[in-house]
Amino acid sequence: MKFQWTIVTACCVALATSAGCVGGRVAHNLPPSQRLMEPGPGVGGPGPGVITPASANMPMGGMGGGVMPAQMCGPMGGGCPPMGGMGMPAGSNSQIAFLGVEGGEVAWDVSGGGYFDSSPLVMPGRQNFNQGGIYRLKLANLPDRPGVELYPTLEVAPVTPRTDAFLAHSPVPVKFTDEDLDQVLSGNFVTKVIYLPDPEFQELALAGVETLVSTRLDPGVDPIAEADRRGSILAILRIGNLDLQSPGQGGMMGGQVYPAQYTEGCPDGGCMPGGAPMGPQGMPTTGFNPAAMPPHMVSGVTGPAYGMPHTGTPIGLPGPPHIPLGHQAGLTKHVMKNHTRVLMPPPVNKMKVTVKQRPGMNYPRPVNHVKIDETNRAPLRLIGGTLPPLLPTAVMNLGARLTAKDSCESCGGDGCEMCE
Amino acid sequence: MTTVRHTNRSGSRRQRAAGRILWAGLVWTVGIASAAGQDRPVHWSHAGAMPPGAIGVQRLLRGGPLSGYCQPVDIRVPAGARIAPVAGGGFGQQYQDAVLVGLHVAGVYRFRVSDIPDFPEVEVFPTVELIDRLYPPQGKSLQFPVPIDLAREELLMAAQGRFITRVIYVEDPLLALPVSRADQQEQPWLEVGPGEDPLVAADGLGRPIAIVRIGGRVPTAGDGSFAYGPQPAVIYDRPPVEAAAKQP
Repeated sequence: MKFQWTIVTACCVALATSAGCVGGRVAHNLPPSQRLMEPGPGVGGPGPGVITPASANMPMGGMGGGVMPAQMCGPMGGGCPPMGGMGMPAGSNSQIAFLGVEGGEVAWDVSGGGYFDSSPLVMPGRQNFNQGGIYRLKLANLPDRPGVELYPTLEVAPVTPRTDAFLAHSPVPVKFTDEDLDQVLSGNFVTKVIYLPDPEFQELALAGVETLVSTRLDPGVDPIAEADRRGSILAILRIGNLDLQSPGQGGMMGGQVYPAQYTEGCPDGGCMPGGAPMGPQGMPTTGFNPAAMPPHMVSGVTGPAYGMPHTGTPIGLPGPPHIPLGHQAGLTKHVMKNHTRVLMPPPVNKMKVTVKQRPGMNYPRPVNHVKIDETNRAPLRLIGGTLPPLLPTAVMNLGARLTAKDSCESCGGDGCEMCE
Repeated sequence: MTTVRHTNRSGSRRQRAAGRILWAGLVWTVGIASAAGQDRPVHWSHAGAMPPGAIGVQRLLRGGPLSGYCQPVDIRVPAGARIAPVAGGGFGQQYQDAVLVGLHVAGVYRFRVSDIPDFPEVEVFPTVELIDRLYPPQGKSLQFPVPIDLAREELLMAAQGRFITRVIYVEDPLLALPVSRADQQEQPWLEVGPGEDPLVAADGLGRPIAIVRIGGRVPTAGDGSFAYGPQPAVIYDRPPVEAAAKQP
């Protein structure tokens, strides 16, 4: 009996092992996208000693003059101008397409928080928003809903390598449906997450964004977490019925006290009145942390220099944007322990690459023996040849010589140069 | 009185243990053999969802006669539509039906397609990323450009919000159908299934040459990086048809 149980157990283990290998495609748990943008595990970059991408070495904007490099191009005598902008980013902004309520107007802050002083965008319409920011919008003039003004926030997610191609070519649709507005006006808080689904969650081969609405999910399901599980989040829209411009409303509009806020989102003065071209103004999603780097950011070229924190600390970590004045920094020890279980495969010691081309190459064997037999005379033929016959010719030559010897006039037969 | 105890070992028990081990080894071998026969998961170095320009740059780093080569590309749009490449800070001259341009490997080139038949208000701005090149006979590269068809259905789907990735590849000679096609005939295309990577599928069918991405994003004021930099796409004159026909 014991023997039979052993056999049965072994069979079950073998079946489970084989069945586990058959079941579908293996999903891989990749590191976060921010880590994928680094040159390697544990290596920050691009820093000193790291090979810069080829795009950083290319001349930028080579449309004008410039030295024409020697190159192997130019069919029909034409030449190629130097390439510029290879791998340049398509922009660190996302184009938002406001849809749903045709005729409704959307406005956002331009010159200051809570002003909503942009030119109203009539839906359907599009507007570019910088990535990594939260923007307060004003939704007004909604058809069939006179007097209703809503102040949703739009969080535009930073670009990732997964979403870069999509954001560079397609707008992010943000749709206000009647159902959403009804839910909001009845006092509910609606969260809409627009995300780019991973290939395994796409219904079609065509890449198209999908939207998760909190009101359509089961209770307790976080739409942001669910969207993050299904793909890459592009934008988050949060709508409530808070009136920010009602009389006596505090907060953003009513009070004169503005909290000290981190203003990394507008470092070039673009947020100030009268400054350079102003875009939508919002709060960064990253708080005090450095903003997420787009995939095409090159340290020192299109982004801040690597290894230069905003402010220093005694232990070399990036400090807060402002060190409190009045006394010296007191932090002398900062311990961080990483308890993450990491299974990092070791590097390979030996690498073997096998190359086989099909069909193979079949060349003739090289020549190692050359035999040259060159004939420069006419062949000897007994009849019809071009050479005179041997024996008759010899007889004729002998006869001619004897005849000439006897009849030599110059020497009288004694032998001279002619008769010999 | 001495008690003699015999050791309780018999040949039959040893044989039974050996039999168990043999059975277990046999079953384990069968399981391992079936597991080894499965395809191992493959990590593709390149994917169709990578940022534009990334694949081409990696391709350049691998070396080969790619850097600096100007590959002629024949971009064809629906009959009656117009296409314009990036020139300077905007889009340059418009060409009807098709344009023959020279592109660099690893460059991302933006085009504007307008005047689509029956949809004159629609403008689509696809990009073309060249990741490899052709090797035509010397001096005949203009007669063998990379053909890229921007189908009307694709342009309209992109205008409606879809994002389309099209991979142009050179057929594997062992898989190519021995059927001649006219020069201006529409390219045969293959639609990959849901969840499939178009670049991986194209790599299985041949040698990917270019990636075309079509979406519905339109340029706005101040969006200077929309064009991926002012790459000068070289505009070629088409070789005469008679001369091309005489070529062997």
